[in-house]
Amino acid sequence: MKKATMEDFSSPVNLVVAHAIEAKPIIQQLGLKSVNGGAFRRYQAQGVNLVVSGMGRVNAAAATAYLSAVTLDDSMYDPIWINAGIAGHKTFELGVSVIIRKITDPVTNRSYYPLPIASSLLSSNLVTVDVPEEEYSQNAAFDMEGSAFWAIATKFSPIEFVQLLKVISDNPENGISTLSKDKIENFMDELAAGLQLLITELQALASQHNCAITLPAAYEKMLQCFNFTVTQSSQLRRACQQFKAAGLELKLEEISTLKFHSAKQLLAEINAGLERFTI
Amino acid sequence: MFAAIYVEKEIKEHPRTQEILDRFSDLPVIDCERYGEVFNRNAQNFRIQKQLPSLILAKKYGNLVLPTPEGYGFEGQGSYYFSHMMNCVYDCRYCFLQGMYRSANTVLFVNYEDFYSGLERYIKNTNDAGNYYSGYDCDSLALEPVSHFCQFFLPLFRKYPNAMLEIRTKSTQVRGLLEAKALKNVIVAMSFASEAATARWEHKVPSLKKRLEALVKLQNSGWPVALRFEPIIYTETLLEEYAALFKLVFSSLDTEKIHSVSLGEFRMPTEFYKNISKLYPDEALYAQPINVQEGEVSLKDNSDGATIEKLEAMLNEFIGPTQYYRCA
Repeated sequence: MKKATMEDFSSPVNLVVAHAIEAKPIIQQLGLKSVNGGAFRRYQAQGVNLVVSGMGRVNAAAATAYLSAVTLDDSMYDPIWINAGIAGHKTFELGVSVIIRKITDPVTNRSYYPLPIASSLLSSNLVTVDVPEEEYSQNAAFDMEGSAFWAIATKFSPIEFVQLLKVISDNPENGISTLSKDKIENFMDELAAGLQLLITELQALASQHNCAITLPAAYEKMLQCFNFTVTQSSQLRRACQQFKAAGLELKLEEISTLKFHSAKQLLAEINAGLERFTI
Repeated sequence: MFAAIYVEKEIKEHPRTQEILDRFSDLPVIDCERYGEVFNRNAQNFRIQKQLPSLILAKKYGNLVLPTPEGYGFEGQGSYYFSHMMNCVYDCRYCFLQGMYRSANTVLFVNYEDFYSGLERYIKNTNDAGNYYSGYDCDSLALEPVSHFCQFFLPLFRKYPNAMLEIRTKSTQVRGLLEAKALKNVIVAMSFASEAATARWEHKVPSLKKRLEALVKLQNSGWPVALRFEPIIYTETLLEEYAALFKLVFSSLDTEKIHSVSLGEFRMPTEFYKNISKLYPDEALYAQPINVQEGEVSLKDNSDGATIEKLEAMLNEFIGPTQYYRCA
């Protein structure tokens, strides 16, 4: 049997981007292909999904939920979520990519804190506003989607898998009115390089987690044998994890080849196997 | 050591906060309103976060000193605990904190002055006495170079020689204690497990040898030291492993001067156990058969208590009966 590598435990990567212009450089760099149909424009390649949400908090929330729903069955592992896009900033120079450490939503007056992942990128606070910010009232980045993306994405994955990466597109010296399609594409080209690094770092975290929670192959096999109740299937799941943890996977494999009359009898045999385990 | 420092706005200008921020000047500093926004939020994964823990500097409100749970520590006069920190920089796989807290971040409450007043109030209400425990929700000394816990709290116990402070730790950060004049009523209680258990479950913890060296230094400087052999986790080679551990530990220390020795089995509230089992489904410790009684989980002991009794008999060869207690 082929030995599993950490790559086998990778999480899918779900990207939420507001505008098609912002998405274009990412689609090109990651080699994503358009997926037909659906409420939002969506792109996909091996293990990576991208949705174009449209501007603002409502669109971002809806698109994040949509992407989760349409990709739910693609992997047994929780996805990594990244909101990538342009943002204004009071003090940072144009073209600088920043990883977000704190998101503030002035409407709800709530703040959210992504895991401060080690990164060579600069970091910044982010304020999510409903109309473009032209005053740059705080020393922070400003966008129109971040807080809503966070609120929804963290319902589908542990918060440690959810990050926001922004590239600075405007500041007090170069206001929003100076933005053009070409400038946005150039800024997003810069961001795409940082995005690849961020994905690599997050995959390292996710792979370790996913490896730990992966169930032995015998679990699926046994699950097919009977109609387990919800409680029984959760007992089977836990027992299979315990066999794996105890280094008794071969024994579990052996049990999975035996004939039982009922789910209850199968569970009794498995539990008896664990009763005898000592470290 | 830390990925970032979160700072409650209220204590941003506190001198203790400023000193810590200066020490970690290369770390990102993130403001927050209250530490709970970061520490207590939903959907956190303790295990993933433990790979990139942060430090949270905060102010503690409410009950700063609390009565100890039943069966904790010594009998007799009132027993209380206080936690100037929450969580531990070490990563012991058997630790109940993994199941108690949602976050793997360490919270340091910088308002020591309030803890001091709270403790003094309890001491006065207990006829200038009482037993006080630090290290229930954290390791008291592990962050000593950052927290300066000893420097601040020792003078209180110098002032009240009948009040006893137990500092529970696995740390070798004892310089602060060695530089101070020893106090008879401040006990450094070092936790030990067998060498095999240490290697298997005590990640990021100083080696058994280094901990023992620290304890010897403390004893030689006049500090009362105590030994905490817990949690006892049943394995097939447990007795041999602990025989070797006891021999090593008691041959290194002046046994007559040891304040106390305790044994405690692995046990924790059922809820914490369930949380940890979910976090570490691949950990053999949580595949062991268990007993659940009155909301507490313990490991099944196939010897019907004979193993603990044998360990106690082994301890009796080194110490007197008044030095020993078994954790309830």
